[in-house]
Amino acid sequence: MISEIVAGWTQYWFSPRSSRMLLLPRLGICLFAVLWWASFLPGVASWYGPQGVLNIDVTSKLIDFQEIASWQQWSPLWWFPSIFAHASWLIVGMMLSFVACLGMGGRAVMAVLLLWTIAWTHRISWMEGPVEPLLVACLAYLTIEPGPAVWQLRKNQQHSPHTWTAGLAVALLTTHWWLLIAAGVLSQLASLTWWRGEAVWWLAAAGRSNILSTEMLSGNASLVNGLTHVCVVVQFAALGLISRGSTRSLGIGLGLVVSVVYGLIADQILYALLLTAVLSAFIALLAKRQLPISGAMPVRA
Amino acid sequence: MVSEGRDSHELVTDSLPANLPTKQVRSIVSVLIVIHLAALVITLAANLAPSYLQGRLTDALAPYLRTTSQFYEAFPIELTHAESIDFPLLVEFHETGEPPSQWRRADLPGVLASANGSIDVRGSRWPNLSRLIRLLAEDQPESEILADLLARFVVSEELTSHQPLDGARFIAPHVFSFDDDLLAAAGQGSLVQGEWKPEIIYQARIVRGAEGRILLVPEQESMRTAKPMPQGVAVP
Repeated sequence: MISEIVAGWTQYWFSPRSSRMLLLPRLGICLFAVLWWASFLPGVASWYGPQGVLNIDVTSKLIDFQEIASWQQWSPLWWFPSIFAHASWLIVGMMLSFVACLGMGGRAVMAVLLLWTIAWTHRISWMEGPVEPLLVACLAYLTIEPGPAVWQLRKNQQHSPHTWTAGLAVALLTTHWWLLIAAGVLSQLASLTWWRGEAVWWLAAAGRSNILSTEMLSGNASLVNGLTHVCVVVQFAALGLISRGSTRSLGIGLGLVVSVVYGLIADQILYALLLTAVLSAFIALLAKRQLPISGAMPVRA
Repeated sequence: MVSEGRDSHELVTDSLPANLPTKQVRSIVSVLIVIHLAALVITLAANLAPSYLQGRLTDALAPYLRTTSQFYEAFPIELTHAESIDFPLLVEFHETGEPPSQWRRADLPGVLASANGSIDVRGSRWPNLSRLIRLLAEDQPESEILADLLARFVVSEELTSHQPLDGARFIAPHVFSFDDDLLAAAGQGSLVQGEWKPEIIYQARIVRGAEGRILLVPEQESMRTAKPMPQGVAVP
């Protein structure tokens, strides 16, 4: 019994996989990171400059108010309050993301990008949403195994190395996606709003839907109820179907619908884009049966 | 959780590949995986309304979770619960010399001037901040942080518009419920926003001090006291 659990655990987390499997998630996550960095640029002075709403003084007070130890919110930006420093940080972040997207510099560039990103998320403080922790986690997983550089693809087409770090990175990405969707749908069901089929109305009424408005939904209770219930069902179905090899393709398709729910039915478009990028890691699992496994060893190793 | 290409019970009886890490490496990495995922599950579970135990656990895990930006704290992973914190606040200013009822809405980057349903990748950022301001205003309406934040909006607005202000406030616009819509459909009400007054969450009068310093004087309760602008920011 114990040995079976250990073998299952080992298979799940440490199965060697082709490092090429990280290519698609890396491209998606790093291109998303370019967009994420760029999204801060237009308002950098108004929000984070010395005269901005969340300048260093106010942000420090927010952190003190929450009784957070200042070292836990580490960031070099605390010492450089100027607009130039903040804008430069964003531009360098964009450049690092693009370089990491190409696969240049491997783990070293990915690790620098990871630290660069954490430093910025600490600086923006109360403006953080669900997208920032997920982006940081994804970059950490890609630091474990970033996959091949784009110019190495043709060269390694016939034989790409199978490493346990690639398997671990894929497992962490897919597990993290699964946990976030599960946490999201369970949190939704903590409110009667979702059980009663009203949630979509409230999103629209509060201006928190990217495509729905009260004008579209008004007087159409069945549509509101139906959309809300479909949102919940799709999430549960995606979680179930994507977990099994035989139904994974369908699960990935429903995972895309989940992204539409988060990004368009609600207003979390950045979060939805990043979830979609992470979802691409499941495609690697679809191709598993085609992978050569070099050698074998008994379960009781 | 996410099984391989075959059913999970088949996996454990299958052979494992030889190019695995050593048993020692597997043990160390396994411990790290368990710690990381356990911390993630705990912070996700404690996101909205942590229990006493969850609060203790997240406090204990804070050095790891916060330094790595994995601390979930009232993040809207549930999308909406139709509670007040799910409805973004708006910021309004009162220009000097204007009638008392004449308030102008802030048009800062990323702050939706109204619930217009347009697609903006930055659109969810202000609601994140607004959510915490609302929580703070409900739990600690006397908090100086509210005055600090509103003062920063005032400074930013005056720098942009060059219009002197004498008042500012956070307001919560009325959000029509699903029941309101059902009543309107039955001819027993309407969904006209102008017929409803917004809820004032925090309102303050702006007083000019020496050397361009501004003071925010909260107007809602008499017990609130004047709050000086941090660092004495000079306003042109």
